[in-house]
Amino acid sequence: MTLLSVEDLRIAFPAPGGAVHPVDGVSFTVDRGETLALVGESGCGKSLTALALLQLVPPPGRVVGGRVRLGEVDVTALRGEALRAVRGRRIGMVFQDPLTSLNPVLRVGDQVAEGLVAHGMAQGVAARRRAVELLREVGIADAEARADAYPHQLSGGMRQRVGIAIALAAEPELLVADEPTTALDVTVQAQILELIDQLRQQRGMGVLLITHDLGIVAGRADRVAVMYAGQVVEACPTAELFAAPAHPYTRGLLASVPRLTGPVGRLTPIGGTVPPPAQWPPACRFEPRCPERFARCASERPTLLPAGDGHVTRCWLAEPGR
Amino acid sequence: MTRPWRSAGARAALGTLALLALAALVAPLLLPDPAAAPDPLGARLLVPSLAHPLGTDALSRDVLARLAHGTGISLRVGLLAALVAGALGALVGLGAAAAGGLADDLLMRGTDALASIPRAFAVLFAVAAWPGMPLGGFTLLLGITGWMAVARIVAAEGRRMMAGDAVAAARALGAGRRRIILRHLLPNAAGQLIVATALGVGEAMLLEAGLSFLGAGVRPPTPSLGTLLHDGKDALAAAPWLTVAPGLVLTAAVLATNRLGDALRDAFDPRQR
Amino acid sequence: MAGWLARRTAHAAVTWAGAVVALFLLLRLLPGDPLASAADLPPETRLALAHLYGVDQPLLTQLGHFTAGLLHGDLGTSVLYGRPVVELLAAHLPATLLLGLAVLLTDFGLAWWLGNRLAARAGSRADRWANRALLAGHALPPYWLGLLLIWPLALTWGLLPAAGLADPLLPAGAGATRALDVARHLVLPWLTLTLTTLAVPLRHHREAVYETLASDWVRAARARGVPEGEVLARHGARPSLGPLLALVGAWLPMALTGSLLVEGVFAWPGIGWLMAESVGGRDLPLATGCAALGALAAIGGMWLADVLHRLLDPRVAA
Repeated sequence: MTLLSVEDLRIAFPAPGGAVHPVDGVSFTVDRGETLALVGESGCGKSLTALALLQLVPPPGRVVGGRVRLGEVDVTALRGEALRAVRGRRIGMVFQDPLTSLNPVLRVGDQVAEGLVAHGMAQGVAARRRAVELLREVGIADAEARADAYPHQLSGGMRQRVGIAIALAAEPELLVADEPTTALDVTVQAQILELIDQLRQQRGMGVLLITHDLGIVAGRADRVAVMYAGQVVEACPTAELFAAPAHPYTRGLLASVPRLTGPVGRLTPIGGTVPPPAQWPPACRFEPRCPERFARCASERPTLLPAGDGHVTRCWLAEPGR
Repeated sequence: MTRPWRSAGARAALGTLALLALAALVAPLLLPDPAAAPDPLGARLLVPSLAHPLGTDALSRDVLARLAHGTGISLRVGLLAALVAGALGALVGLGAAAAGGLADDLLMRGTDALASIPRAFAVLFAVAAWPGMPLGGFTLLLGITGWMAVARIVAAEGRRMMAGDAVAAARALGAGRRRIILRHLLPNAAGQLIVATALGVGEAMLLEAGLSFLGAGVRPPTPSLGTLLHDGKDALAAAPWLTVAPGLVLTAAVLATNRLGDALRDAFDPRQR
Repeated sequence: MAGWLARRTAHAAVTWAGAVVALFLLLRLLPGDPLASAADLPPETRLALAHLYGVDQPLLTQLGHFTAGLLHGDLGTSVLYGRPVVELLAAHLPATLLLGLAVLLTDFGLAWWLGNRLAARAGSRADRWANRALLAGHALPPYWLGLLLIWPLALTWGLLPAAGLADPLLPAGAGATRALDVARHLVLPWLTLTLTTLAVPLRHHREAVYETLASDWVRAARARGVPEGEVLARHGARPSLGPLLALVGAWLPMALTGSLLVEGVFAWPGIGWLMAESVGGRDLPLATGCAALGALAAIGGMWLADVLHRLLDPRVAA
C-alpha cells in the first residue's frame, strides 16, 4: 500500500542566468513497511528532495512544481499548524551529521522529549520517561544517565542513535534517513543501518534511505531509485538493480563498488563529476560522461522507459526496437 | 578586495565627510573671524538671521563661523588621534606577533592592563595631571589611549601569518625580523589595520567632543564641536540652536566615518558583515 | 572549575595591578607638576607639602608606598573634599550602579526580545529600519541627546526633573514618595543611556541568532515539529548567548564611563560625575581612585563574563 508518493517534484533556486532546478521532475513511491533507497552522487538533488518532503528546502530555494502525497494528504499544500502536525509526527527525519543536527546546549534527553511535547503526546515527567525509553530502544546503554548528557559528550555513533530516537519519538509512519552513516566510522555504519532496519520491521514504517553508497543498499532496501542531475534515471527492485542494471550510469556506479566486504570509499564511478545545475545538457544529462552514448542522446531528452517488471530507466538504450 | 564605494550608503558617507571637510576649509575665508564679536553688548544670543545664519553665542560670536572652524578642528583631532592609535597598535601588535613566545605574552598582558582603564577616564586622568595641556598634547593623548584594540586585532592576524608557510619560507631564506614584519605581517594585516583605524576616527571624535563638553578637552576659546556644545549647554532654554547645530554635525560626522569603516570592512572581507 | 576559577581570578588581579601601576607612572611622567594647585605657596610650604604627599621620594619608593596603601584599601585623601578617596568612591557608587543596572536590564531585555524577532525576520523592512535607528542612536553623543531631551521634557514642559538624584527639599523618611522621586530623576539619564547604548548588544545578538538560525540543529528541530516560537528561543537564541554574555562584562565599565558624560549633563552624583569633579579640581588622588575603580570594573566585568560563559555554556566546561 502506497504510503508516500512524490510526483514530478521540481525545486528552483534563483541564479544569475535565470532559475536553476537542482531537482527537476522527480517521482517515486514508498510503501508501508518498505525501504526505498534513493542513490546518487553528491549534487544530484537527493538531499533536497528529502528536505522538500517536509518543506524544509533552504531559502531562496523553493518547490515550484509537483506534489508530495502522504496517504491522502498533499504535504506541499500544507501551511502553519497543519504542516507542523506532519513534521516529526507522520514523517520523521534522521540527518547526515548528528553532531551539527543536535543543539549543542540542550541535553539530548530534552531534545528527544521535545518531539513528544510538540505533538502533545506527553508532558514533563512523562515525556522525560518516554525519552529515556526511546534512547534505550535505539540501543543506548545506561539511557537514564545518557539522557542528561550534552551532544559533545557522546560518541559519533551514540549521537546518531540519539538522532534516530528523536526521529522516532512521535511514531512517524515514514522515516527519512538522509545519509545517516556518512559521518560515522565504518564499523558503526553497519550497526546504525541494522538498527534502522530493525525498527522498520517492529513499527511497520516506510523508510526512505538516502545514500551515495550503493554498497550499503544491498540487502537493506527493497527497491532502489538512482538519481542523476536532478532526475531519477533508474528505479527497480534491489536484486534486479545488481543483477541487470539498465542505465549506463548505474552500471558505472556498480563497477566502482567493491565486491568483497570491507571499507567503502566515496564513489568515483565514471570520469568527471556531476556538473552544476546551470550546466546540465539539454537532452540526456548523463550523455557527456556516458561510455555508451550515441547521436540521439545529445539531441532528444530521454523519458523513463520500461526495462522489465517494475523496472524503469531514463535511457534511449532501453527503447523497444533497438 | 571588492570596491568599497558600491553601496549608496558608503557614497553618502564619503560625500558627507567631504562636505564637512570642505566647509571647514573654506569657511574661514568667507565667514567672520570666529573669535570676533560684532557688538560685545548688543548681539548676545541672537536668533538665527541672514547676517548670522545660526545666530550668535553668549559672547556675541557668530555661531556658523565657530561651527565651521570647530568642525575642522574636531575632524583633525579625530583623524590624527586615530592615526596615532593605528600606528601604535600596529607597532605593538606586529612586534608582539613577530617576537612570539614570552615577549608576545608579556606585551599582550600589558596591553590588556592598559585597555582595562576606561579610555575616557584615562584621558580625563591625564588632563587632571597635566594642567594647561595644549591641543597637540590632547590629540596625542587620545591616540595613546586608543591603540590597544588595534594592537589585539593586528597581533591576532600577525600570529596567523607567523604560523604560515610564507613566513617559514622567508625565514629559511634568511629574512630578519624587520623584513618579516615589513614584507609579510604588515601587508597582510593592512586591511584590518585600515578598518580599525577608520572606525577609530568616529570614536576619537566622540571622545574629544565629550571631554571638551566637560571642559576637559579642547580649551576655549579654540572652537571644537565639544566646546561649542559646552558653550550651548548653559543657554539651552534661551538659545537651543547653540546645542542643536554642533550636535547634528557631530552625529553626521561620526555616522559617516562609521559607515565608511563598515564599507572598508566589507571591501576587505566580503564574507563578514 | 575551581582550578580554572583560581587561575582566572589571579589573572584578573595581575591585570588590575598592571593597570594601577600604569596609572601611577602616567601621573608621574606627564609634564604636569603634582603640586600645581599649590603653586602660589611659599617654597618651604611647598617642600613640606611635597614631603607630606611623598612626591619628593624616588619614583620606585613612591610606587611602593602607593601599592602598600592600595593593599590596605587606602587610596589616599581627596584634596578637594578632604576625605578618604575610598569613602568618596563608596558614597557615589550606588548612584552609578542604580543607573547602570537600570540601563543594563533594559538593554539586554530589549536585545534578547527584539534581537530574536529581528533575526527571525532578517532582511525585512522592520529589520532594516531597526538597524538604521540603532546605528543612528549609536552615533548620537549621549550628552547631546540628554540635552535634547532636557530641553522639551524638563525645561519647556517641566514634566521631569532635569538634574540630580532626588529632590533635596523632600522630607527624609518618606519611603514611597522618595522612591518615586528618585525614579522620576532616573528617567531622563536612563532613557538617554539606553537609546545610545542599545545598538551594540542588540545588533550583536541579532547577528548571532541570525547565524544560528541557519544551523543544522534548527532545521532538525523544525523537522520534528517544534513550534516556531520554541525553535527561535531554544534553538536559535539559547546557543547564541555568547555575545550577550561577553557584553555583560563590558557593561560594568560602561556603567562607569558611558555614564561619565551623562552623569555630567544630569548632575547625577555617581562615579563619572565624581571623576569630572576631580579633574576640575585638580584632585589627583581622587582622579587616580576613580580611574583605578574604572579599571577594576572593566577587569571584573571580563571576569564575570568568562565565569557566566563557563557556567551557562556546556560546550566550554569539560
